[in-house]
Amino acid sequence: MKLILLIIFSLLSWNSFGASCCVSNTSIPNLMILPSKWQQTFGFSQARVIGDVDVKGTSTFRAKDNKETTTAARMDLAYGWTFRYQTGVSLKYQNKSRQFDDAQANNSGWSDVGLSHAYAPSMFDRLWIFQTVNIPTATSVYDAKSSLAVDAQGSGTYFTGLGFFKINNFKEGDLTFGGEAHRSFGRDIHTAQSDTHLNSYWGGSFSFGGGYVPWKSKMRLGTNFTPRLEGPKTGTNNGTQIKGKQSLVWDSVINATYSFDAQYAAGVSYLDQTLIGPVSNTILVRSLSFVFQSRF
Amino acid sequence: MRPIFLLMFLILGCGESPLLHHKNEKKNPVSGIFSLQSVPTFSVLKYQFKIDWDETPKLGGNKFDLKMWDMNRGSDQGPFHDPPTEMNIFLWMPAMGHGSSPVKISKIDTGEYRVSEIYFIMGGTWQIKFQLIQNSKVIDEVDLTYHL
Repeated sequence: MKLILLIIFSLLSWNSFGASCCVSNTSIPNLMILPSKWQQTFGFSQARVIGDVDVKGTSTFRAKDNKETTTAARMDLAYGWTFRYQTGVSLKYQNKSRQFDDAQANNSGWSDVGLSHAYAPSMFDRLWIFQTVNIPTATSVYDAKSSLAVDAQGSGTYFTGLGFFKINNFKEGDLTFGGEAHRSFGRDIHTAQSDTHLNSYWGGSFSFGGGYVPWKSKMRLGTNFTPRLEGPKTGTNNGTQIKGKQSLVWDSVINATYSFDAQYAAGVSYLDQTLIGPVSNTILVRSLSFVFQSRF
Repeated sequence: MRPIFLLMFLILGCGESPLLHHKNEKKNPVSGIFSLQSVPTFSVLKYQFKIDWDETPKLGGNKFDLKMWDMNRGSDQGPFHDPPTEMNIFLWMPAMGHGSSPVKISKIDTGEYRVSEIYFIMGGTWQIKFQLIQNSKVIDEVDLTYHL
């Protein structure tokens, strides 16, 4: 039973796709939960911005003719160097579409590159300590050129996160916990119209959830909740001080995963940022994603 | 099922759920300066300007005409004058710490410009920054604030 549970839980650290302009989507990397050499995770998602939240926490849901969607294909590769140490890389190609009643634009391109490594200490059972690194290879909102800034496919800054992920199993269920703190590093971004200097800032998230394996099957039904906090962005823009405010948003996720065998698993996930508050200075997203994972 | 509903109730009740406490976006919900009561002034170089929006500023695409004059030689009725230095106009969201895509500035006549591709990409407080730049340095700036 324990091995079956372990196989079913192979997709536990898989992230839902919560695209956001304001709060980075850095959290737990796609960890290799099962002892394998290689693991590939392919995901496809569609996210839609539902509303905007001001600094006072007032939410405004967008009108029907104000559409912002992101369709993304994502690939995560993980390699286990030893039983306890693994490294990973994450690549994402996405299409951003923006539409108002009198204007529309869309753009496709690669998002930032994500790197990670993780270690499972021997003194703890099913606990991973990880570090993530974001490399801003994509255009961001700070140097977007396309109409409606649809070519802003990345975050714009280097950042690194340090965190943990823990699974507790019991009978047909599980509880999961994860947390991370990240630091975005300062960066100068020059365009024809503006010279922007962003100072470094802190952010963090904490995830908690649980799952249930019904009828002793190979399927797991799960949920998790993740508050994400992003520190205020400060710096200068063409000599003017930037004094941003901090952002807060909550991810609420339900997912279903199915493990075909020890090598293959698939899942579907729904993420909603409109359910739980308080929220502030952010956009609110709903997304649906599908994922397929193989390992050997 | 009862514990699940209880848990959801507790979670939704902990903070102010956006789903349960939100307002819906309205057409042209802008507030701020769109019919100017006072004339924007570059205080260092003593230039003033006025802008005439094609329509009330809104989320999405916007356009306006800008007319500028030297305070010592002109008025809002003319004659109009080109700024003495390079002029830069861009959008900025102070709370978010980011802007939008570049606006397009087309010269129509002396001191008269057509500013288009003004895209307010999301709701919130926006600034339109008008800057006069010399030797890559901002020497004068006027910000107009809009709440969308």
